[in-house]
Amino acid sequence: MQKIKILDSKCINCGVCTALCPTGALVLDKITWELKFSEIKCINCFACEASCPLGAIKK
Amino acid sequence: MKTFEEINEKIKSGRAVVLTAQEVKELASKDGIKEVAKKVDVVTTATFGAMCSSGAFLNFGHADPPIKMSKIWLNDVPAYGGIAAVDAYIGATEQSESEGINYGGAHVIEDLVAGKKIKIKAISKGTDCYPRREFEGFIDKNSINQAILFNPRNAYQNYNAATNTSDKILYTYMGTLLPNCGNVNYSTTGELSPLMNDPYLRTIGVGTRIFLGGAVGYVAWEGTQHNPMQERAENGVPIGGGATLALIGDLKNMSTEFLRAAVVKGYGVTLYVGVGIPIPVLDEEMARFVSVRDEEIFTNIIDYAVPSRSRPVLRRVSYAELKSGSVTLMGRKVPTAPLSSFSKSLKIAEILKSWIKEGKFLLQEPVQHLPLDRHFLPLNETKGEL
Ligand code: SF4
Ligand code: SF4
Repeated sequence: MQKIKILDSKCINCGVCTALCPTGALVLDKITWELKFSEIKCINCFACEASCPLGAIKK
Repeated sequence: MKTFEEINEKIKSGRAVVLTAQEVKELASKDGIKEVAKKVDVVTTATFGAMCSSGAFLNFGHADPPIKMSKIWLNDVPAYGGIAAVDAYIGATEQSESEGINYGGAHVIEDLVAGKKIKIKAISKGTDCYPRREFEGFIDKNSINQAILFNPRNAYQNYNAATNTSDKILYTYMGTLLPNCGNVNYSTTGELSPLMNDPYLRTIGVGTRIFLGGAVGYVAWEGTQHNPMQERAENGVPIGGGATLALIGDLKNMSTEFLRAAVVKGYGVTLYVGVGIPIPVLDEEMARFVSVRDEEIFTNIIDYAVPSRSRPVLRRVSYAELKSGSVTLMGRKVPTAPLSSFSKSLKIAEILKSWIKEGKFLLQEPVQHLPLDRHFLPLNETKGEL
């Protein structure tokens, strides 16, 4: 099965992907404001993939 | 009362008290505004967001025989050549003629900053003084004379948040908006953002020295669509789009960490720009301004499903609520997401703070204030002359 990957070198931690994730697998840490990705919560729906303006989310 | 000169003297002697926007707000809630006015000299504010109204002036030097370039492509992205012979302006949102939305002016700018080679193609009708009609070759940031980032509109003081009441997905410059108010996107960094901390532009004007894209830059002028007459909250902060800045700096010194090309699905290419502005705490009023919190900064959630320039406001919301991760909209909890990067903004505020503390960066008092009486005019369809 294909899984998503967050490319740290491209991610700017904007968080725009977080509102599109139906399972809460993508969230912004409220202290550092960095993106946190939980592989366990991810259902590989790929709703987030095209939403990333930086091309940081890949299958 | 402190003056710019007194603060600069303190910076030079290493005695200046410099806090980031985040730190000063903590100090204000602990010790109060009077203490901020007494203790703090400079507050560093920052934002790192998508700023479509960006671009760069480039001068390529002359070929032999020379050409008066009238149409120019950089990596197949059209650049504006209607200025002199070998000057061009590459706009961030221009798209590649071969790759479309996947590569654009912002990518050319990022590739230039990264030191990559860019393919240039130019054509001309030819003149007696510039006989050549075609040129093809490669440039990079070291082979060209100037690369000047000049962004006509950056650092929006405040901006609407966006949602979508329709039953279709909308792809907008505010990101992907899910049907039936499935999400709310917002674009500024709220209390960290430069112009939220100086709502009447008392200390920011023409000539203000800033952090731009990882290097030193300057405020050149009011930005396009500058709208200081926007409705304001009691604390002076506009509710929705307010003031804007035109920014300038040497692209050759910038870094891809703070200047990033982006593709917003279904909308187009844009440039993420890192901007940091130091705000001097001249007096108690400035101390109050820089102490503003997300709870006291408001914007409107606008329905982007309505295809009009006057889109309906669904509700007014504070940045504290937006940053909490969800808002209540029509009785439902709706997830929110920012378009700007808070983590990068915090980093920029820290870098600018260290530049000032090391005495490398002095404050520049505005050589001219920005107007506070501009309205944002619409473009109306008129038949015949105005
Ligand atoms: S693939 Fe789906 S579940 Fe996984 S992070 Fe992306 S949106 Fe969330
Ligand atoms: S949208 Fe892309 S750049 Fe922004 S936080 Fe998500 S993965 Fe990172």
